[in-house]
Amino acid sequence: MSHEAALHNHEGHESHGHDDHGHHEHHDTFLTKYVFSQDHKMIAKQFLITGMVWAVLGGLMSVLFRLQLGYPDASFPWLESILGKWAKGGQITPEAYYALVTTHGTVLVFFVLTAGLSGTFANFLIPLQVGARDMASPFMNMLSYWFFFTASIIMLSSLFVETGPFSGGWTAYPPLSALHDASPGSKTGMDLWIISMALFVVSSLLGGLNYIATILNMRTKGMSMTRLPLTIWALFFTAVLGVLSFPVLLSGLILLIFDRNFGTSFYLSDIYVNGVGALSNEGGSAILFQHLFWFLGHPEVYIILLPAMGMVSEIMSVNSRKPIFGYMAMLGSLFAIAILAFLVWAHHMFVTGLNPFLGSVFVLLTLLIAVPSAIKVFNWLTTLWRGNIRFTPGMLFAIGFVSLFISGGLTGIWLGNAALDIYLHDSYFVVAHFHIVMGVASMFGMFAGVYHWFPKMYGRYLNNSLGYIHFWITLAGAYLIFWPMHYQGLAGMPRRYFDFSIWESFKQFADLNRFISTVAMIVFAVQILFLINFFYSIFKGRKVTVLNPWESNTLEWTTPINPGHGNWPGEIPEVHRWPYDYGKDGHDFIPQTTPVGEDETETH
Amino acid sequence: MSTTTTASPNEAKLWGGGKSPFNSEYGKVMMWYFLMSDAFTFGAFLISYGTVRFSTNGWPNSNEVFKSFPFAPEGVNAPLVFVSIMTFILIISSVTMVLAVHAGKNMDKQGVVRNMILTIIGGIAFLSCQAWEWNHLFHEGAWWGSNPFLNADGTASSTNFTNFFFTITGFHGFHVFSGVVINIIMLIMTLMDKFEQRGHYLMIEKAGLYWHFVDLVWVFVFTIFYLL
Amino acid sequence: MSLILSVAIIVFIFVVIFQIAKASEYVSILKGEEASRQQNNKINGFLMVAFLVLGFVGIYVCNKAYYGKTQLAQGAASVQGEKVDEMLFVTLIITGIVFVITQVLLFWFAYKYQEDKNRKVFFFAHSTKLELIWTAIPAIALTVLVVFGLRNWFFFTGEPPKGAMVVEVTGKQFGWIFRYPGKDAVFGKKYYKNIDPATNSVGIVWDDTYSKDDILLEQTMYVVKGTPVKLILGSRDVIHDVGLTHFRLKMDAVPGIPTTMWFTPLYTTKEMREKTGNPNFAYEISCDQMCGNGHYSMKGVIEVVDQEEYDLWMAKQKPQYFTAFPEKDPTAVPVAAADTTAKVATAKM
Repeated sequence: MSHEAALHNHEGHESHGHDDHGHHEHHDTFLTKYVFSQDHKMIAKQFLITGMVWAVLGGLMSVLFRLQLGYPDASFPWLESILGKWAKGGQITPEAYYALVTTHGTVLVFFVLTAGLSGTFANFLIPLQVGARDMASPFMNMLSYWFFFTASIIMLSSLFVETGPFSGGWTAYPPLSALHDASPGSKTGMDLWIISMALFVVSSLLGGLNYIATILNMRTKGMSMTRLPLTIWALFFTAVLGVLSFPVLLSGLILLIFDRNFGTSFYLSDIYVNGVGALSNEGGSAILFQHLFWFLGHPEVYIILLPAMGMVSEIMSVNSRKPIFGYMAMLGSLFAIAILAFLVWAHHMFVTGLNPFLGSVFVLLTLLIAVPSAIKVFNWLTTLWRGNIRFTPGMLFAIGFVSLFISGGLTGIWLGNAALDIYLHDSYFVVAHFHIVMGVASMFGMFAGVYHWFPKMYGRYLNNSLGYIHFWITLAGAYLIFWPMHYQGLAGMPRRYFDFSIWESFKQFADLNRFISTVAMIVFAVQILFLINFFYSIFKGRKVTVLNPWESNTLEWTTPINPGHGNWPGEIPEVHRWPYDYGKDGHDFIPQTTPVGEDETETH
Repeated sequence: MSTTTTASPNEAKLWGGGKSPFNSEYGKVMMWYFLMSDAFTFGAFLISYGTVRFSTNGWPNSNEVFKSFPFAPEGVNAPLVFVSIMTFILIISSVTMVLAVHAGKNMDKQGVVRNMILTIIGGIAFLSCQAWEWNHLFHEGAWWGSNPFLNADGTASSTNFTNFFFTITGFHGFHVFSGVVINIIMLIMTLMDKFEQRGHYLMIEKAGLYWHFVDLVWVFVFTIFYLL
Repeated sequence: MSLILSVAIIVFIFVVIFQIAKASEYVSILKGEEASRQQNNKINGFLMVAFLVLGFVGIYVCNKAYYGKTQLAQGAASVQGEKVDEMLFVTLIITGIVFVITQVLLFWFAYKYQEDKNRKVFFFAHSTKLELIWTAIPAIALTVLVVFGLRNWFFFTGEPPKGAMVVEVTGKQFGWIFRYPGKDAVFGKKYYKNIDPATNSVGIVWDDTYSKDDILLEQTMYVVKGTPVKLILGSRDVIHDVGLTHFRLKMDAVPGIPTTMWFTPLYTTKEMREKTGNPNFAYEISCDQMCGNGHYSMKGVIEVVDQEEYDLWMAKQKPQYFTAFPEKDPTAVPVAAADTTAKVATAKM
């Protein structure tokens, strides 16, 4: 049979609907249905729940190290009973502090905001919103989750090693991360960290390839690229970013493992370690690692941001009963952000002594990336304007996202300017910036997505009142925690400091530190409330009784309330329009599957 | 706003959903994107090598380092001859791979079998040559962290010469090895009539893409490491 | 005991909130979809505006409480620093205007356009004109910032003026070592394998004639007010960073790759103590790159003094060569012969 025929057979198979699929005798065992599932919806939930577990662990770590920052002189006997030698006398040791800070960063950036955010929503939404039965390769999709799970286990195991987990900051710069003798946390814990990250990269690649192939190859009839919901476009660009940038991190980590264990000098040169003496390594460059790391590191933050942006666009439009303003501009700005994301990495390296001309190029490109971001903000504002807004918890978190993105994004402009970064680098200003724009804003995007799509995932609603409490307290709390930190940064207060008492220049913030720590604990507690809501509602939440509870246009709401394998029991619907016909020609909403009427005004 | 930004109505249909815009099934699309990501991995290694090399004052002359030949007397001066033969073998194996894919398109099982066997032999030959090269260099004192060769100007050389050499050729060799394994699996599946049953040899084509990628990377490694 | 009590109270509060939430869900089911949605919208709409107002109040309160604790209130202590502060203000104004406008619009729109039975939505899908306007304006604003920023950047990273004094700073786990070139104004060569923490902490090559008058100090270095000083930075082990908060500069100290930074101090330490009203004021060097478990304890101090004080101080400094080889020191008290042979043996390293 020819290549052509093979191709069309594959597709013919698809379009004949899977009536047989619906009645197929699957004989799913508990293992194949819930554990080694190849159904994208189940895999999405696996990513979500694993991500949540890590969010609790990572959040708990931040509560612990904020305990040290807020109450540096106090001692908590119960700490010693939990942490043992890491909290002798009830006070967290510097070793423990740095291990907590490092693991917090690693786990939240990668396991929660990448795997938990992209992994969940790309897996859940892509087939449903493009009109496919499942991902292009369900098997690879399953592998993607299990590599993530294995990476998690290894990272978890590094917490229990005798010398402790890696403690050199999530950015893992050598020589600190390359020399076993530079810190106890750079011993076995670091090797485990690297292996865990390598497996994580594999998981991301497997996922990303699937998402790209599914979006390009498996859209249903009529779903042209410009009729895709913005969520899908965002997830598409996210996947492209990941597929091209994670490999460079992998290379950097391989070279690091060689430096650590095989006597190479990729990153090492001219080193004398206290108590050990002069090392034989010569000729390497510690800055090389930083280039390789940030070549991933910068796209990584957009990998975290873009899915949130895509979901917010969707949720805002549905709940304003208006089309997202400027679809093509939103698409173009996603595209511009994706391209520019690859070209700005060295703005994390302005003070490494890099060539000033090179630095200036990165200043230009970095401030350039502010333009498409600004466009998006204005478009979201215009989407709200003259809309008819429903305040579902999802909508609240979407609005909160925009507020946080404005705040955090604007401080990015301060930092992108090298002549300001030379003062603010590695200060609490940076900590405030990335927490607001990434830690909180993207987390809000994730919450918005969970509240909005929970009915589709589980056929039940999350409790609304708990949702409102969750939103308002978290929004207020986040601002209370991170807004004052800008002032600490402007005082030059360095980040990753265990204690400030010996510093005449930085010790004036004792009260503020205590305040921030207290608020942080309250905000963490409220997240627990959310988790209770989440798990309770899976089993006992108010049941969804209508197919389309949010009266949305997109395809996922045309599936049954609890969609099974293959998503649509009959044929996959055909699409005739874009997803944003809300309030058009006096109609409240017109689903994508509705054919174009004769007297309808211009369609997309 | 119209459905697409391009003019031609045929293109509109191509991207209009319901079919693959590349006229390829998903596996091939995924293989292309995977190869792009792998290219970035190798690219990162090669660029790292480049930056370290050109910021170092001296570097060994590859004509001096890679001048030996198996079964020839010690001290023979055959600069880059052996590695050129290795390159030639790998390129020929790519040619036989192309022939295998072509045979697959014509549903010619015997042709596929024959050419896959030749490709596998080529791959194994390349790996054996690489193993000999490594072993030879090891016996001269070269390894990760140890570089017995002097710079072109006679000064002591950085261990990064051998560090990068073994890391990059090792990573490449690992890809050749996995490619050989994949090709063997393809051969077995062909012999078991799996593709005859399916009615197409698309898997061979995908394996072919991977094999060509491995060959192309070698051309870059060979050029950057041995020639420049 | 109190821990168990606190946990119990928290759990109790959770349970109460949870029950209230469940109850209100039942109530809203009874009230009906429409009515409960309307009420929720009203409450949240109000909260939007309340949050906006309270937010700005919070910003004002926070600023009042903490602006005085930032460096901006104190003023910069270097020529470069003054430019940094100027740029901080310009950036603050530009981003501040954008911040206020967008946050107000966001929360105001959320409040104003909350669901209303009588409102007809305005189907507004795109406007090329608007997109162009709000692409151009940010682009222009950012260009201003880029130009301003890059002019300063090239000034900061350019060559210091002639007549700058030069000091070499080496970071290590966990402290700072300073090297002055001495009377010959040239640094002797160094090689890291020569490092001996006791006598030669940066690995000076003693055979080099320029090494013989190099001065090595730890923790505190001296510079002269009004004189530009160029720092050559390096590290003995991992990456550190020389953070000079009051001068508004920092630069990484990397092992194997020297980096440089220069600045002109404006006020002596004494003058700053008066200016800030803080008798304990010091120009502290903070390490600004994660370097291990002692990262927070790497404090160095720069004493800015006037020229006479500096000359007096410099005259008192002894070249490190004499500490490494006390027998060569003309001012040293002669020691017993046995001791000198021991010292010679270690120096031959």
